[in-house]
Order: sequence, then structure tokens, then C-alpha cells
Amino acid sequence: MTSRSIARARARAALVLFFFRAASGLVLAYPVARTVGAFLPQAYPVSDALLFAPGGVYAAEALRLGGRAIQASLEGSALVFVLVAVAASFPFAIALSALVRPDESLPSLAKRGARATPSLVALGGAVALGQAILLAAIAGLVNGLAGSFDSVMDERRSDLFVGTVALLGLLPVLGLGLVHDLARAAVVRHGVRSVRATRLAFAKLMSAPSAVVAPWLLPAFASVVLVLVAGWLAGVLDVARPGAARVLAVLALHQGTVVGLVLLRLFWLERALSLVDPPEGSGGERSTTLSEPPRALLADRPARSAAPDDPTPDPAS
Amino acid sequence: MSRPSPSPRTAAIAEALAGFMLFALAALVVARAPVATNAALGAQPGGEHHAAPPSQSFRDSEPPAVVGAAFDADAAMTEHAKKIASYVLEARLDGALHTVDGHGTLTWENASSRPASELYFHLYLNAFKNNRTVFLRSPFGTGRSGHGARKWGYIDVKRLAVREMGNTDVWPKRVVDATEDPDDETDVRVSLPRDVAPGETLTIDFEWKSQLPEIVERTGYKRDFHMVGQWFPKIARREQDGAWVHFPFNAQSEFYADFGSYDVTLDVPKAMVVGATGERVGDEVRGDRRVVRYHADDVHDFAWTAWEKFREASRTVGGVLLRLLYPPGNDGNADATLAAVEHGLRYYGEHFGKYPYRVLTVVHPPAWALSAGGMEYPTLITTGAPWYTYLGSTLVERVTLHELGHQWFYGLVATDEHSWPFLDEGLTTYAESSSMTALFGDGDGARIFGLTLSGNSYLRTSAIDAGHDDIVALPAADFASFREVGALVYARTGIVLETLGRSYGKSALDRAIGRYARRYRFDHPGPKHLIAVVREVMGDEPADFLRAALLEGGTVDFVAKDLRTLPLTPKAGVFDRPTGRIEEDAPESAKNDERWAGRVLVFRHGALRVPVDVALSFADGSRTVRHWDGRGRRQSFDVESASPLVAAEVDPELRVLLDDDLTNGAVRRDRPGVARIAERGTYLGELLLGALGP
Repeated sequence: MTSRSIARARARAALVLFFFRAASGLVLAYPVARTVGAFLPQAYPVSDALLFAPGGVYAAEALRLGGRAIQASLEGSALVFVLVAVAASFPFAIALSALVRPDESLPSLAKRGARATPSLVALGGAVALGQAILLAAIAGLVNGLAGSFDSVMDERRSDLFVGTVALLGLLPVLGLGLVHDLARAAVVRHGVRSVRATRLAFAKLMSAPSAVVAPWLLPAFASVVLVLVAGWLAGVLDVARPGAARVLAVLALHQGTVVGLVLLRLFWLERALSLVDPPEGSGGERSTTLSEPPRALLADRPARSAAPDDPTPDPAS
Repeated sequence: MSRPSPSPRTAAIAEALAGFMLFALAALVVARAPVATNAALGAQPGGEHHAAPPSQSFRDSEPPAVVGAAFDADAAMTEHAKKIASYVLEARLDGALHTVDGHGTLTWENASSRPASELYFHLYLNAFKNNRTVFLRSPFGTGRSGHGARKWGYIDVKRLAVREMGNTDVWPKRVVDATEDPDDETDVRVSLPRDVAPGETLTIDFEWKSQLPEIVERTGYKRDFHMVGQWFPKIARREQDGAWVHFPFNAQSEFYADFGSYDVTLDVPKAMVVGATGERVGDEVRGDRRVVRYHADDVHDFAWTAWEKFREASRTVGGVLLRLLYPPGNDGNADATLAAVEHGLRYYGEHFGKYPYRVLTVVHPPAWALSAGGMEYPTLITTGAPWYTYLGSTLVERVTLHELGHQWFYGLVATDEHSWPFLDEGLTTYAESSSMTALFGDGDGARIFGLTLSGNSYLRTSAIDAGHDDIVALPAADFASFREVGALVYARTGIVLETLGRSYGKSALDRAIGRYARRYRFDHPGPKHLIAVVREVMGDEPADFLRAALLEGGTVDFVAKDLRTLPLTPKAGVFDRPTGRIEEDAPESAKNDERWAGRVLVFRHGALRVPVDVALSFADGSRTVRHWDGRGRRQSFDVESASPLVAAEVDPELRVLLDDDLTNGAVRRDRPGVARIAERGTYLGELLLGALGP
């Protein structure tokens, strides 16, 4: 496997994810944008620039007059968002498959993606529910704790203490997210179903937490920095002023940011793919773009065979 | 017997369906996650609604014909107030029982032109005595703090004796239902053995005991923190014509009193840090008690605070000793507060006359006693916000500048807050907005990633929504709810004045308000006095606008309609002339030099008349601005141009913030795009999908 084909595989994966996100973003945003635009004065030459005008008088006016219509539009988009989030499992599976099998054609990757999608949907739903329950519990805990320590410490320390509790409470949410990523990597790499993939991911996280968290932390931090820098630059470009060039520049900036976020995500997912051990008895597949699994893991690996529910021959075998 | 295994396809479908349902369940869990509810925030359950009693009438004197330009400068200002009601008080705080035992002497002059046969006293703390008082009877918590008394508060007067009338204790002859409301004891009438002649002074000795409530309306205690306001028997104000301005304490109302001097000695537990109206002239420790003495001249109220855990910061600003008391952990808020006060003293001093006192005490209550915050007393204001507010928010500065503004519009220009609340809260909102804009520019409300929100934008939102509900210049008790008070008294007055300034000149408006504030320092003007000064400085049209907007419920909405544009046809056709019938063809040169006629109609809805500009845009990118005096109901703008008229926009500079609907003031021939919104929305959608999606 040449570095060129690996680069091509990464590019394909990135493009699949980026175009899906961009298309989904537009689908989500356009109806809302039209609704908001309907509650702005029809100023000339550009009326939607008023939404970003200094002072926000027109933005507040759009919310005042169009609040209910905008809310209804947002609710519609929220429903679409749930559907898109479910549907996103398919391009996600394709992207991961592209990393595992860089030489396969796109139709072949799509077939693999389609087979993995149900398991990814199940995983996504279970994790979303788990995270939602955890977040609700944390919110309840914070609500209950807020103000409880005011009589024994000053309000800043009291709030910081409660905030620390909340942050600690977020660790399981974060852990669930990491398990989710590892499990999805296992589904795609080894063709296993969601329950088995989850077990595998849990085992990996529990056995080597630092090996999982460390490669996630850097791209996650870089993503936050990237979004903040893009926000600052968008402010400098100031689309409140007329001129298509400004809009195009901000469009390029934002979409460049999304591409950067996708690449950072893929950076982590590549490591997730390499972290998931081949499940016992499933055969499993080894990514050709990925670094070789540790020798110790390979020692336990059974003889390579196609996954029980995956009749496609392994090109690497 | 084992169950048959499902086929891979069936398993996949089941897995996908299960996943989808889990997504839906997750959304449901998020939607029902615990959040702060009204009940948690202290809202009271619904129930029978009692209408507010009708308010007292207020006799407004006619303003002088001319105030004069001399009052544009500080030199013309009155230096001291006429002392009508002065108090010498001694009070002892029981920090555990939250009671104040006091005795004192009131020196009161009948400054009216008529004899007085009775006195009226306000016992404001009785507003918190039970849940049937005028203040607390509404189940909806109509006051500023939005909640009722959790621990009752009241005031018992034990003796009230008039030296000039044989030291007779006149309190037993009091009538507690002075406003014919048997459940309210905040407004008490005391008959006198004889009339008090105009100009005569009474010396009244009295004793009382106050049980502080758990903080309801910026007064009371919470844990070991005490904010003590409206805590002693306070004589009502008698107008020049002999009418007493007295009223039961209403949750929507504030106060009105005469100027005088206060000399107050407070006896508190030794560890307490005390802040109060006026200058501290004594502070000594006696055993386990601390005795502090405060003195204030030219003020009309006295409030104080006591708490063991106060941190203290002070600095001198332009000769004024600024003392800030704040809770531990609030150093960031303290710095922001001090900076805001420094800016405010300078800004308000320049615009409305120099701050006349040598001290200013700012009290930042702890977050768990926030109901004590956001209140003004002479030379003492309370602010308040959680400790982290200074980080990325201007709320600390806004609250501080608002309450500081009250030192002028309440403290110095002592209008009747019960009858004309817009004169203190509305003018202060305008002063606050102006000073915030001077400090932070367009981002005085919020600023993030280059986007800014001004205070006026959100003031405008509530001001416009409530603009058709009622008029601004209502007595406080007559508003339908405190929300209406907020929208009309605070926000709409602020937006009316902002519109006046933007339309007729900000500097002229500031000069008018400055002249009003300087002329009526240590006085009790009414709305007529304000409008008269605006008329004097700015002219009839702005004054009429102000009167209509504040006193008559005037509204305005400019609507642009019916934009048309057609090519002008040169003269052509068959014409009958004295010389006979002629036929003219359009000259070839004219066909090449095409001209266009354009027209747009602009309507003015509502009774308010205010001038506006109308911008007309043409297809070739050119633009022209026409001015309309706004006096008629409509105006047709007809133009002849080299290019088609494509758009018209009323008030492009956004001067008329009071416009009911900003979206209908512009019209264009094409359908405007939403590229910017769609771009930003798409990006946010992508980020959301990246964060929450796979």
C-alpha cells in the first residue's frame, strides 16, 4: 500500500463526510433562513445584511415579529436534524470503510457502508439515549446542588465546586462518546453487530484508557480552537457590510473550517480503527491504511476468515 | 426449545429500527431535562386576582414660562435642598431576630399654603405583614422581585408625640385604613389636636420596632445579610396646595418624600460591616456591639446594610469617596462596578449636573440575596449579579449605571414615583442607555464574534410590543402588571427619548434634559416641567412629539408601498392646436436617451408625527435621499431618473426606533436573497451535526 493510495483514501473519506455535512447543513438551514429573511426590511441592495448590522436592532425585530414562525421553522429543522443524524450513519460507514479498504471502488464501499449502517444506527441511538439520560441526571444534580454550599463557602467557590461536579459528571458522557467511536470502528472493521462491538469498545477503553483518550484529546482541542479562530475571522470580515466578496470569503472560511474539522475527526477515527482489537472468532479485517496492531494483540488473533455476516472476501487476506 | 435465529437482513432492520427509536427517546429525554422552573424561581400559584386600588390624583403645578439657558451650566443650580422633613434616628439591630428597635425625632415643616389638621405616615414594612396587603395580595407576584414574603415583616409604632402640642402621643388616634383598605397598614393618617399653620414646624418624637421580612422588595434579610430600607415611620409629602400625596405601598410603585437631613446612629453586632446613606461621622466598638453614626443633608430617604462578610473597596472619584461593599469571590464584579461608577459620575455629572454629595456607597448583595439588588437610595445604590457576570457580559455595568442614574432622576430631581414613575425610571433608562453606549458603543448589550447587540435593541422589543396596551404616563398602581411597567415606564420612555434625540438632535435633547435636571435639582417637578423644558430647548414639534408619545399613547409606523417605475415616453401622438392638427413622433435621440419615472408611497400610521428620510435606490446603483416632515398621513415620492427605481427605504439611518414595524418601511421590486443567513445557518448546522451527529 503506497502512501499515495492512503492519502487518496483519506481524501475520499473526508469528501464523503464533508459533502454530507454541507448538504445536510444547507437542508437544515435554508427553510429557517428564508423564514428569518421574511422578517427583515426589504432594504436595497442587500436586506439580509441587516440581520448582522451593528446593534442588532433588525435581528431583534426579526425575532419579535417572526419569533413564532422562526420557532416553527426551527422545530421542523430539528426533526430533520434527527433524521439527518440517523442517515449520517451511512456516509460515516462509507468513510470508515474507505479508510479500512483504500483500494476499493466507491460503489463497493457504499455496499459495505449499507451493511454496517443498521448497526451504526443502533449504536447511535443507544449512545444518544445513554448520553441524554446522563445529561439529564447531571442537570438534576447541578440543580439540586446549586446554592447548597453558599453558607459554607463564598459564592464563587460554591459555583466552581458545583461546576467541577458537573464537569466530572460529563466524563461518563465523554466516555460513552469514545466507546461509541470505538464500537463504530469495530463494526466497520470487523463486521460485527452493535452489541458485540460495544463490548469490544468497552473492553478497550477499560484496558487502556490513556491509549484511547490521548489520541482523541488533541484533535478535539484543535477543533475547538479552529471554530473559535473561524468565529473571530468571520467577525473581522463583517458581512453586515454590502458586497458579495465578503459573503464568499466567509463561506470559504466556514467551509474550510468544516473541512478542517472533518480531517481532525478522521485523524482520531483512524486511530480508533487501529485501537479496536479483532474480536475473537469473528476473523476481522485489518486496515491497510492503518498502523500494524500491536504484536501481542495479533498473537491472540484467530485465523483470518470473513466475518459471519460479511461474505465479501477480505482484499487484504 | 431454542428460538430460531433471525436472518441477517431481519436483524439489520430490527437493529436500525431500534436505533431510530432510541434516537427519538434520547430527544425526548433532552426535551424533558430538568430546568429552572417558575416554581423554582419563586413564582406563586394562581388564584383570585384583586384589582389594584385606584391611585391618588396628583396636582401638578404649572411650570415656569422660561427656565433659561443659565441652567445649561452647573453654576445656576441650587446648592441645597429646603429642609422639610428631617430625622434624627437611633436604631439597634438584632442580627439573630432581624429586628430593628428605634426611636427618633422628626422635624417637619408645613411647607404648603394651607393649614394641616392631620399628618400621613407611610409604614412601608407593613406591606409584608400578611398576604392580604395591597403589596402581596396579588397571587402573581406583581412586584419587581416577583415573589412574596417568605418570612413576614412589619413595623409597630409605639409612640408618636408632638412637642409643640403638649408632647401628646397622637398615635392612638391613628386611622390605619387611610385608603379605605382594611387589609393594608402601609398608609396611616394621624389627626392632630390642632391645625399646623403654613410655615409652622413640628418636632415629633417617636419610637418603633421593625421586624424585617426575608428580602422581598429590596428590603429585609437573608441569612445574616441585612438590607434595610423603608424601615422607619416616614411622613408623606404635602404638596404646595395642601394635598397630601399618600398611598398604600403597591408592588408596582416606589416612593415620594420631602428633602431634609438625616442623622442616624446604628447599633449593630460588632462584626457587622455597615454601609448607609450619607457620610460616616462616627464608628466605635462598645463591647460586642458596633455603633456607627451617619449624617446626610439634602436627601429624602435613608437606607443601610449590615453583613459580616462584606469585602470593601474604595476610591476617590472627582472628590467623591466611592465605597463598594461586595461579597467574597466578587473581585471581578467589584472592578467592573468601580469602573462603571467612575464613568457614570463623570458622564452624568457632565450631562445632568455635578453629583453634589461627598460620598457614594455601592452595595453588591450576595447572589443568594439578589432581591436586595438593583435599588436606589440617596447616596447609596444596590447592584447585584452572580460573581462571574463580569466575564463577557455588560450586566454589571448596566445595573450599576442604571442605579447610579437614579441619583439624578429620583435622588436629586425628586419626582413623584407613585404618580409618574416614567419620570424617574424612564429618564434613568435613557441616561443608562446613553452612558452605556458612550462606554461600549453598539455592543453595550452583548458582543460576540463581531456581532453586537445594543441595549436599545432589546429595550425596543418590549417597548413596541406594549406600546398599544396603555399609555406611558400612568400612575404606577394603574398598570395592568409589572411587566407593563417594565415595558412602558422603563423601555418605552427610553425608546421615545432615543427617537427624539435621533430625529431632532441628540445634543439638543441632552441639553434639554440637562437643563431640566439642573433647574429642578432638589425639587419635585412633574411631566409638564419636562415637556416645557424640551419645548424651550428643542422647539414645539419635538415637545408635541414627546407629549403625544408619553402622555397620549401615541404610536407611529411608516409603511412603504406601491413602488412603481416606468420608462418615460417622449411627447408623441396627434395634437389639436389652434394652427391645426399635428402629429408628433418621438425623436430618435430621445429613444436612445431613455428616462424613467418612479414612484413610491409612504404612509404614516399612528398619531405620532416625526420627520423621516426616504432613500430611493436605482438600478444603476445610484441612490437619492428625500426628507419628509412626517406631518401628513402619506407622501408620494415621485422621481425622474436615468435608471429604473428599484427600491425605497424609509428611515435608512434608523432614527425612529419607536416605529411599530421596521420590516414594512422598505419595498423593492425584486425578491431579496438570504445568502448571508443561509451561509451562517448552514455553517451552524454543519457544526451541530459534527458535534451531535456521527
